[in-house]
Amino acid sequence: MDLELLVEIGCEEIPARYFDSILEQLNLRFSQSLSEFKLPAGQIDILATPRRLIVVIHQLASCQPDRTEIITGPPFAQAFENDKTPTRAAEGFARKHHLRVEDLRCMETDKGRYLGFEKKIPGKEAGQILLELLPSILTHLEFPRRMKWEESHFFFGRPIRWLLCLLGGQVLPARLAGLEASNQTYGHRILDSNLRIEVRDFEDYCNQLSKLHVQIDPNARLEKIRGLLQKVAANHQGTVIHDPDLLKTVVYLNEHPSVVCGNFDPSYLRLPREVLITVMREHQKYFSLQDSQGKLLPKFLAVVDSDEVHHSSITLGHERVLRARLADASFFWDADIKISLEDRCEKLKKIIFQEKLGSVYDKTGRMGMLAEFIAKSLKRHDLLEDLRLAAKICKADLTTEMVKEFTNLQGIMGGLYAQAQGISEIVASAIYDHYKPAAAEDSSPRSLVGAILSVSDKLDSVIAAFSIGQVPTGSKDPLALRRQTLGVIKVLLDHRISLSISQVAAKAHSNLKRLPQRNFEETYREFRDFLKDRMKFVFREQGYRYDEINAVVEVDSDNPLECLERLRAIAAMRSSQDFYSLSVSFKRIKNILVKAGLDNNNTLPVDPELFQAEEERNLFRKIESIEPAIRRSRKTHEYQAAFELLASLRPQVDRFFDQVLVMADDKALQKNRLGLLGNLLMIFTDLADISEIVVS
Amino acid sequence: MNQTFMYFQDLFLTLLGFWAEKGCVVQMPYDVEKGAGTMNPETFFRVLGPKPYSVAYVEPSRRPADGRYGENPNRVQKHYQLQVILKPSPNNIQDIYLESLQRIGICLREHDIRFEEDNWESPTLGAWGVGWQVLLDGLEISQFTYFQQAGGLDLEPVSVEITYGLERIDMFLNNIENCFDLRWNPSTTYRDIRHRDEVEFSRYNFEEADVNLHFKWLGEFESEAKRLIEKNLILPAYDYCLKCSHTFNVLDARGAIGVSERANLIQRVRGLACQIAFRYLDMDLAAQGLSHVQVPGS
Repeated sequence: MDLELLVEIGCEEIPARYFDSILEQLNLRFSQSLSEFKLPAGQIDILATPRRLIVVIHQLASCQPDRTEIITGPPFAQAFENDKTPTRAAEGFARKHHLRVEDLRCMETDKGRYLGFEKKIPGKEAGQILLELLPSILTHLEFPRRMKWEESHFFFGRPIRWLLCLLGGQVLPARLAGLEASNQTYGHRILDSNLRIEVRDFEDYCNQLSKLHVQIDPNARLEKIRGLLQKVAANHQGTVIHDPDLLKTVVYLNEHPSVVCGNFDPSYLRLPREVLITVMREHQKYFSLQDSQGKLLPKFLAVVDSDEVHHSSITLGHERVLRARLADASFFWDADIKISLEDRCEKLKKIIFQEKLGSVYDKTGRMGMLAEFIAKSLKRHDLLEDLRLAAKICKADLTTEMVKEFTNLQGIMGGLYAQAQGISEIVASAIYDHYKPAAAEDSSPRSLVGAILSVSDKLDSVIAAFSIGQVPTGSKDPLALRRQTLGVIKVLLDHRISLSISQVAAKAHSNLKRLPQRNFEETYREFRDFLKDRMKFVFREQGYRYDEINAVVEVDSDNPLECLERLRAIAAMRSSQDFYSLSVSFKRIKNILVKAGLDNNNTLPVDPELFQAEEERNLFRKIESIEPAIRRSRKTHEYQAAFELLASLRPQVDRFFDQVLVMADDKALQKNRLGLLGNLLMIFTDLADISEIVVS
Repeated sequence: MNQTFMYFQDLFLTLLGFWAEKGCVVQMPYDVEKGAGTMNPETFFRVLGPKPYSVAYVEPSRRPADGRYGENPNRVQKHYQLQVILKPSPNNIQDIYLESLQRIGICLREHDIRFEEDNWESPTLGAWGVGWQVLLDGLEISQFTYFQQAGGLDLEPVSVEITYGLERIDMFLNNIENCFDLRWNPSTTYRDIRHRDEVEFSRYNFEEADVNLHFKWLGEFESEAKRLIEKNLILPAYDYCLKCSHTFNVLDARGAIGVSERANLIQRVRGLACQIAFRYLDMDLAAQGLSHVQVPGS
């Protein structure tokens, strides 16, 4: 008979940001544990509100299936005397298992024939298993921060206050954190005064709780909130400014969400849109509204844990709080704007960038030098003046009251203040954008000046950190070096900036002057692999296949844009039959060379006089004939042309392998042939290692 | 929403009365300057060790850097916290807390009340806890914390701390937008009592506090605290630790503390607080014939 399991862990408010991980862990651990215990089950539903973690398992078998185990005793040959009477060993074995010798059989096993029997082991009941399983799963749940609150020293994300546990409608008396499970739960804390109720099963639980203002399904709450936001916004002639992260957060701040719309004094619309949205979002978790022209409205939407009948008093409260917040923000704006960004720079000497890496002031100096270096190497001397100014003042907003209050407005405020203080649009927008891309989905800076500033900022941070051995390990990456390196690659690709990272990194390292603890070679050796991994990640995100990426990145990863172009060429070529079969040949060549103890940097000289077979000579001539063209293609970045030349080698390579024995007995011949193959690999060595291409 | 005016003094008298009914000792503020009610010895020492204790008091809390010369409707360099410590924490503590809100005239159902994650940490006290800020229609009215460590020591049992921001709550109850307009009693406003205080202390903290003298005091207070610890005069030592903390805050408001210096100074005050907590508990347990303190990680 199948049972339904309903577990509700009643908690004090669990932080909204915990839920994604909790729900995932619960789902995984329950499904894994049930299969470990061989307890068949149907669907598992994990639901949650700020105060409840809910697990529902449908069609759970009431019992593990019975199983049989083969128990063996003495070898069958030693079980009976010649006259078929059982030996003492056989009788002893039977007695031990409370059986008669007649009940025993000859069992065939891997080790031979033994006297034995099949023992039936009845399956454990589901309830019995769950009594142990539930506490064990909950004990091992991981939280960003755990706490204790009661005598048994149980650790959890927040205090657990009740446990509801029903298996097939019966209370399963699981124990946890000083509590014993019951069939009781509670209604909405405020709207139903935490009314205690008894429930029979999941259906009854849902019905009763929905009457008591608790929507247990986070997706249902999400849809409700989304719908209400749209509806209320439309009622106020506006549309909601899309904010998926905020939406996800408020889903876990409410059991009975509804949406109120409040107003603020339109005079605050003189503040930049970014500031208003941030004040509403960060401090108050409000959604912002805009009109059909995209202009911000002096209104906000708050998701509240209450009923519509109480909205008028609640709205007044929220409006009053926002009024004080906006008064602060407007004070910050007015006070900040009075001091020019250039005048603020001096204060950056007092802000530490990183303990061993000097102040932010020092950093902006390094950024300026690096930006200049990049612009010069791109032959964009026209950008130098803008870049110098932008680098100098781009961090000055760290000293403003607004950024001290809302750190995530760094850069953005700098841009807005620059604009308000009459600094050119190109510099202002570069400052505004220079933290971009702030996340994988974020866009790159809009202008080339912004792009160079962003790359200079990030590469300075990353090389500086690597130079003092601050290298990300595992989940530890306090300076967000991974994200910043991804940012560098993304910006270079988006703006089609062709740049040798090692050259820029060397400049960044030399900018550090006396600071670094490691020399450049040591710093860069570690950084190169780190960069390579990030590049592979970016290319994979763009949809390239891992073998194409390896083929390209492993030979040379110094210039991301150039890498991408080689990658495009190789991806375009890979469907061609010649290319495919060459890849097989190249694998073969590589193997031969490796076996002979030769690597890429160790090529033997070729003496055409020593050629014996026509195929050797043909291959040699072919290589010689295409080599200059390949060099040219490489120089002009016409990689596809280079790969087409490569593919044209196929007939010569195939015939060579058909007719020529590389590892000839004559050592001189052998060396010469190895040299020829080495040369063949060499001319492509910095284009791609096509032996990496997986032939399916 | 509110038929009658809730005077500022009625607010804290009502809350103190409420917590007295719940079995709390109603204590007086402590007479050394401090940044928060948590630093009162009635919290700092009582949460250590196994002895149950419940206490409520109003604490004037000084934050020199928050001064605004009496010109900001919401920010002051000294405000009043009403602090409640319950050790051990009762299972229904959230309900009791909500009941206290009803006692001061808040009809829960008519408001949006939420517990949003806000973990508390005091680096100078070597203390941290897990909890929430309580939001009433989006306004933070209380801090609610389960203490996990104080003075670097694991706490057992766990105490719960509830801190009410009295000015904010009274402003909310009376629909007032400027804290100086609060009415302390029928005849006296918050401005009458507090405004000159704000003006003069803002000037002092931002402009006049003698930086060299404060640095000198900081050193002296620290030495005195260390000397007293050696003599097992733990409560007097704690006074000097508090003085260090306040002196540090004044220097900070004065803009006299550099970034690397800051971390170093915090570390020094924290070192004192941890030693004091350890000695206090060790002596207390010894006096009760109990075993000695386990320092986490040792």
